[in-house]
Amino acid sequence: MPEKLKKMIGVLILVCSIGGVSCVGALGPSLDRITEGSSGSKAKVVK
Amino acid sequence: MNGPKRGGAKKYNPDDTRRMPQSRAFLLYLLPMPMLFLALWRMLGGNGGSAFGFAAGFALCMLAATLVRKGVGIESEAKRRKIVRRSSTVPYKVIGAGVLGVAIFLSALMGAGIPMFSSLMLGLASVVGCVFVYGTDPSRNSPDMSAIGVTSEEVLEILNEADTKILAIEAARDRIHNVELKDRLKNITKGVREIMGIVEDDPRDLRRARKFLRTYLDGAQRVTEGYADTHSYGDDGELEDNFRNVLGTIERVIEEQKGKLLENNLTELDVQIEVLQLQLEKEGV
Repeated sequence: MPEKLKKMIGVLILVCSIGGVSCVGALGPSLDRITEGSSGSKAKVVK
Repeated sequence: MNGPKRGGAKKYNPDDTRRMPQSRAFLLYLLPMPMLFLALWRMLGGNGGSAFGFAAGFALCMLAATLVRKGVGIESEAKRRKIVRRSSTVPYKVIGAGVLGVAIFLSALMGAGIPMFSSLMLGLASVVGCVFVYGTDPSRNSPDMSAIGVTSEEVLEILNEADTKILAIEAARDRIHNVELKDRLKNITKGVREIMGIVEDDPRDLRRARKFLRTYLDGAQRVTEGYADTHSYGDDGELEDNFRNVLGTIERVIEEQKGKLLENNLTELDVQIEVLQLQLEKEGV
């Protein structure tokens, strides 16, 4: 694998893994609410 | 109009042994920054476990970045000097990648609440990413220094000191206006760099070049700086003649040093250096 391509892939992996953890950490509660809402398991019935 | 002016663009010099720009593992310091804010945010929100996960992850990421940076620095120096530090037996980059993996695993699992398997995968991915970007540590294929009576740290220390002295001589040279003297000083620094190159190629020569690179080069630096300082107050014929004599002696000794290094003759050169030292003191430039 060419060195430059390897570095680019490495940077992409680092950005995705480190950035991903931060994103999930920041958006976690919001994501929970969305998934809970879409699954309907805890959806409230509005009369 | 007539060539580059002082303070303008610097001329390209392939022999310049000043520190090359190198990767500083900037990415590894930058990417985990949001974790610090997340730790504070979670702490203010009363979520202690998550705050601890992000704080521990952030601290470990900084440790990993520092280790990788040290590894990158050692590799860069090894490339520049052809000599690998003895301390590079510690694989800083690999350890840094491992610490980064643990940091990401911890912050994913405890901080972000990501399931165990996914956290493990994220940790492994960051290790792979780190190795892809920064590589692994260089192997020690330089001569075994302990077998020749000097350590690689000693060689690097003396070469770095010599580099500093050369830079000081070059800085003093810039303050001298006489073209002939400037050219001679340029040849002198070039000669010293050649001697440094010989030592880099075969560190055993350090035993012979140590005195030259430490004591004698120090004398050359002081004389040049002294002349540049005094010269700025006005021209003095006697001073200039003395300085010319000293430069001539320095040039001769550099040539002899190079020759002797190649011939592996120790004693005679030591005597000559001592004689030259006495002459430098006597000339009192």
